[in-house]
Amino acid sequence: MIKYKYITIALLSLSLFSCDSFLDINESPNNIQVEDITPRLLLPGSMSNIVRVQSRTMNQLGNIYMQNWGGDVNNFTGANTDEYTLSIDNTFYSGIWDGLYPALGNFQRIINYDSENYDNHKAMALIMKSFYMQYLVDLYGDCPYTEAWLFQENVTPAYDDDKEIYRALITNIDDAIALFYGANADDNVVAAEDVMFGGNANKWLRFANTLKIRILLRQSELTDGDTQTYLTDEFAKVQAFGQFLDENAGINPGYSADAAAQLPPFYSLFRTTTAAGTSYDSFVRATAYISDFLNGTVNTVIDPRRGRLYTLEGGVIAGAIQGETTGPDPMSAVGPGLIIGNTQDASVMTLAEGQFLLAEAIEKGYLTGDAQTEFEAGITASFTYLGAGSAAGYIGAIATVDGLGWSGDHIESIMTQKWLATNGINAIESWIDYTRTGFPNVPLATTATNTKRPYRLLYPTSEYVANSANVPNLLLAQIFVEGPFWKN
Amino acid sequence: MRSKFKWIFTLLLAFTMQFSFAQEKTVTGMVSDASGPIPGANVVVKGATSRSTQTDVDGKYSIKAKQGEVLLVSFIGYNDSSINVGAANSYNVKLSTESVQLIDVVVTALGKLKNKSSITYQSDQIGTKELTQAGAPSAIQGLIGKVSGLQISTTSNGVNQGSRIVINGPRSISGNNQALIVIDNAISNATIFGSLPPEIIESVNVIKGAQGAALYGSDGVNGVIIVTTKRGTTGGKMSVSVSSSIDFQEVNYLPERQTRYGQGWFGEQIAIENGSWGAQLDGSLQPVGLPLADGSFRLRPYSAIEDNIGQFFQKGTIQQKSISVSGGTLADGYASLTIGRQDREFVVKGDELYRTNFSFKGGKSVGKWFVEGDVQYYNQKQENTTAGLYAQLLQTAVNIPVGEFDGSGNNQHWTVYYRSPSWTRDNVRGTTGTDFMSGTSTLQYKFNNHITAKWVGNVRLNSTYFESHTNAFTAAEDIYNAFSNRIVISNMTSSTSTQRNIYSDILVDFDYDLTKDISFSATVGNNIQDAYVRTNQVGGSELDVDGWYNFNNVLEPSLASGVNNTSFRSRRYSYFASADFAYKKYLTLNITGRNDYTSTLSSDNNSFFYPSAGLSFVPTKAFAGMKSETFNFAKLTLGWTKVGNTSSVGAYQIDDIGVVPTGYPFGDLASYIGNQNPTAVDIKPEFVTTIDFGLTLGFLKDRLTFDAQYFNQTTTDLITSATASSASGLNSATGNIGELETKGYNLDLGFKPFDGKFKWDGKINLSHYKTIVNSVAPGVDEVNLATSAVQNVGIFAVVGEEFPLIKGVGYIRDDAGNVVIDAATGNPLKTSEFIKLGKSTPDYILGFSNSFSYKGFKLTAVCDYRTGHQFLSEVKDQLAWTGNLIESAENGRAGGFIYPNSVYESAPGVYTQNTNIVTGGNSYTSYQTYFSDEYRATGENFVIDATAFKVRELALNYSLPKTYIEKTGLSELSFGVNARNPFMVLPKGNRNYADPETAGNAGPNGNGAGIATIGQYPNTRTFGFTINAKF
Repeated sequence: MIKYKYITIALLSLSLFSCDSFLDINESPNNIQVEDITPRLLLPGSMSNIVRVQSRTMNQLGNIYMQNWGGDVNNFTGANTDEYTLSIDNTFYSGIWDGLYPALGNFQRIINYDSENYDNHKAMALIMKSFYMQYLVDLYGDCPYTEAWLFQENVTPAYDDDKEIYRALITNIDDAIALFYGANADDNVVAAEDVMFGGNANKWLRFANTLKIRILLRQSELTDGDTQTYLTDEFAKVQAFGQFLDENAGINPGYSADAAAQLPPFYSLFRTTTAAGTSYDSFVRATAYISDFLNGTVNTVIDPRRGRLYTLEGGVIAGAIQGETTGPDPMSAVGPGLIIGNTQDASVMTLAEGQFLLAEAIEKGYLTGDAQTEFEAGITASFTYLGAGSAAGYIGAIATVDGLGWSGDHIESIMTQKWLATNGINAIESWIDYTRTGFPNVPLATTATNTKRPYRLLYPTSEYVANSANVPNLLLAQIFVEGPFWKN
Repeated sequence: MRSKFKWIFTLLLAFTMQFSFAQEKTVTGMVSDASGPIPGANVVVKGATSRSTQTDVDGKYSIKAKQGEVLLVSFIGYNDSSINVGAANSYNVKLSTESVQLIDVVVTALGKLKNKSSITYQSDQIGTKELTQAGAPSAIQGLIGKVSGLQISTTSNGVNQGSRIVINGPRSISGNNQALIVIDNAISNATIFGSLPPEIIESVNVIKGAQGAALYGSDGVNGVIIVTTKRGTTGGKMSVSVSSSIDFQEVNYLPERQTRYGQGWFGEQIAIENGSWGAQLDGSLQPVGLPLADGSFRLRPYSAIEDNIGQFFQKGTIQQKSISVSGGTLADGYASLTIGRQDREFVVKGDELYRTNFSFKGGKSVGKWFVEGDVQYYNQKQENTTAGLYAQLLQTAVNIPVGEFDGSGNNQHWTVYYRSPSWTRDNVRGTTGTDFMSGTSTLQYKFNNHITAKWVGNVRLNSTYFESHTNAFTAAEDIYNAFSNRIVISNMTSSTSTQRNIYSDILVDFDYDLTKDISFSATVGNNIQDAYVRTNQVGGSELDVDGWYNFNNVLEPSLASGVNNTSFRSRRYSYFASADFAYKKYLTLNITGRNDYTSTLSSDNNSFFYPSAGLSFVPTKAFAGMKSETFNFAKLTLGWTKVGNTSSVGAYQIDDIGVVPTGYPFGDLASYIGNQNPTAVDIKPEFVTTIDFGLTLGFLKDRLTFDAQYFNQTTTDLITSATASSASGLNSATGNIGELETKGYNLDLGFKPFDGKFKWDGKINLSHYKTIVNSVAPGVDEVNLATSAVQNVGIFAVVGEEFPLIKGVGYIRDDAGNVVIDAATGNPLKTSEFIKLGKSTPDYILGFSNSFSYKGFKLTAVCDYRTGHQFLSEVKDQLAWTGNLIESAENGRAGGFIYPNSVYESAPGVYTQNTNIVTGGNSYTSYQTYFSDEYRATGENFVIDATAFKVRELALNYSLPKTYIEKTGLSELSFGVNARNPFMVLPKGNRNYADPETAGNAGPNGNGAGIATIGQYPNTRTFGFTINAKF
């Protein structure tokens, strides 16, 4: 019977193997476990990841749509065809939706973090969430919001009414303010992980207050009593705090040329780690429209910022008409005021934008103050950002130019100056303002197949593939006549 | 767990109870036929069926019998024989065949030898001769076209070709669909199979019926290819065989390009353009390329040079040498040693591969013990550049003398817009070195004639280093480079990876004759697997000293998150059992069950059980009157198999982890964010349920044979990674979603019209399958599997449609199928949504192989034909915008053209034949713009017919008659000439853009077939010689 002993031993030794610990080896040694990721670790990456979408994809679309950028027609064909012809499909700039939404999920993780000791972090996350969610509504209209960012619990979130989302954004900011004020000694202090304001709560409160103006002003073209009452009430709170953005709000986790991934997101569109130009750098060129505008051809005032926004060819900006296949040779590329250096901030909101928002709110009577002062401060801030020297001479020169200086339609002037101030920095803002106000009235490309720009974008393919039961059926023709709620 | 063992143990005891009688003695002997021993033959004591045995691999048997009893010896395909037991203890018997073909004993799951006619599923065995007949550099290539239902696609052309091996179509959308490779009873993989010298392979058994693979469990869900290496010689003598071959490799064909217009843009000849949009070629002397160092230009005739891009490629070689020494028998002990060497030089200069194989196998039976060991080792070094240079090469006008630019570098390249392919070839390099070792040991103990226990253990070690580098390039400061951006920052990467796989099988086999007519055999077993891989990598950019590729020389090291520093470990164990009941050798029922336990699923879901059942019936044995000279054999099989599969869930995949955001850490600032592509923690296995039906017929003593298989396999709870709504905060989520169903059939017709001095052996096989996506996640209609560099087209899994599906932007057509054009612009109207443009699964694959032999000469030919499918050609897209497309030149470029068979909407819903609206404007510029914009934005233009007829192998071998060579000490000497892939026929729509077979490698696990990427070298063919000698 000795042979059975062998079998018994063999089988017994097997059964030793087969206890559960043999299989309990499935915890990754290669990645951090999710329970170890505190808001301290989440915050910097959340911020620096989401700003990439704004600095690059959103900025590119705005710059092309608003006549800031065209292509080098001498060396490339088929430049920006979709943008010029206004042929929009479900893949057109889908990177905005598919980039912002998952990135916003990281702020949601901070907000959801199960601890009472991260009030400051949560406040910052709420403000950032409102900041970028506003852009999603501005660019798409109705969006998932209340069911959004539930991750695997709900991969097909329902859509919410865009107006309701807008209201919730203001509530978020109020909640954030309350968290800042309510933070006590138990709450972790935010330090280096706040890659925008270095943990300075007052700067966040100022930023939040200016963001409120942006959200509220966007609806200011609506004339219904309900909206106007709401705006009056909310602006009263803005006025009550009375402090606004007083510096450029930009994200900088420590950008450097040490690695391609560590370059500032806008800078890396144009420069490599060795400061050599990228192929995109050799592609992007000024348009004839912006050339004429800044060279003084349109309104006799030469804009001193031109040599900062673009490289000058023969002392002037040389650009081709959007849609044409010929143009001056060589043409002007993106200039040194925008491509500043490999440590430059990724702009979230410039001081200039903040000043123009104030100017508009005052001009429209929502806030008290002097609109012209804020308007001119906005121009000055733009000159400062671009390193274009003193703005005083320019402000004087445009003083009597309707729609450019503080003359004629002040809203047109504000929008035109905002357009120039967001050129290459946050041009999407200018396109959204154009949708709202019609200013500045920049032309379409000559190859445009529609008579006007769309009011918003089509929902991306990912929604039709993965959320087809909820995504609204939006036709191409609709986006040329129906905007977000604030447009209609 | 322990309770299960108790059960098994009791069962074991029950079967091993033996009662001994006095006077019994042990009778031994060997059963053989004309060509040698017969393993697996039945030996039964007449009238006492409880005493029976089977012959072992050497045809030996051993049985207890009394003097005066009669032993009945039988084996399927042979006439029965009987032995009268006398005083002697040893009796050898020689069986005579009753038919020619059906004597095969095949190696089935877990190494069990089974008689072909008792197998309850369809399989196809290919022997060594058929594999190596045309000097295939790997056994995988030697299998192409020879087995129905086995679809082998060469998915990448290169010095080390990539293959995709699928049996009977896909079973998963994003999981692995490739067949399991088992080498000498231990599971292995296709890379190792492809690296074995083809000469050492004894047989390859392709298990097409799911039931035959059921015992391999999850691993075998996609069918199994059982590879058995040679054991040595049959005669027991020492023998040495030497073989050597050399093949010359060349580019088979290059894309057809227009030859009417030369280098330039918008109709002008321009010396530095990457486009062929220049003026008409007129033979005049024109500058070509960037100026030389002295500032002068190359002046060359402005005329077409035939296949000028072909000048870039060289003639490659594949040299194979091997020597084998073997001898002995299983009983006395055998040993076999093979050393092989392969040297390849590809058609791209510098792309080389060297491999040395060392393979040793030995074994011996000692009484009831049998021990066998098997060691495979190889060392391989591969050097190559990036196939991305092909895209650079395609941007070449037809008037450019490509050969002259070899070595000109980027500064004197023929265009200022792209890098030089020869610069890329010389400066973007990678080296991969592999040391692989696999050791298998088998230990078998035969308790008695009924019970045998076996352990198979295997360890595979794979150590790989990979080094790659790119040298810097800075454009010269001259006016031609001022606006170009061909700048390259130097970089290097060095990594090492160690992989270890442990595999163990413990099997106990039982064999009984329950009654005179009913026999029973069973296997119970346990399998344990442990897989571990560790990779470490360093690298970075900006090398300080040119040409020194070491991490010390890196000025900007890669971020930690950008290099690999990982280890993965997974484990699995299983218990399984299989039982066969056979009635009178013509009716066999097989039942299997297996329970897997895996570490990659959560503890709630990591144990899963699945069963199978199969039936085989041989009517020609059952009904004596049925069998005749003309109709000699018939067999039916029926199988139902369920298999659980977790291959798409890797180690740690369900673990909730954080990922590093772009660029982190910045200095001392670290950050982690959520994983945007998670897998559900509660994910379960997907289950594949297959119903098989098989039929085998033999006519005219098997001069004519027919095999058919029908299968229907349904996968439920598919583990699929699907796009998530971005608003959920995720990009994709992997879960159990959807159902996939594949139905198909395989038909094989074998014929031997001549079987005398002149032999003609022919085989025709036909395979067809159709895969339909029954459902994906709730509320979702499709899953995107792959996208392409070509705009507006991709590969999808769409509910209710064939899988995989090619979808994209197509033309809008009227009811009659005419393309509708925009009356205002002349542009054809495009669909706003993606529409169905094609499918990547052929309607059928037809394989055709023939061999003719006369005296020592043997001529073989293997071809196959695949049709009914489409693929997306990125090459065609590249040709379109660079102005090389024939369509963009055949009618001249002075202006547009009337789109053939087009209509326009003259009134709402009314389509009028277009006779005057011009597409492409009225100038060269507008015509070019049409091709680079509108034409390219319509994905439909690049989806082309994937039909191909390929001659895979042609070989002529001559073996010298033994009488000629005996005196030299040789026992065999043969010479051969062969050609692989010598020619293929492509449909008109495919102007040699790409080999459709290369469109098989995109998407998760390569399941998004249908895109022939531009990073694929053109198809190659080889011509060569072989010599084999045996002492």
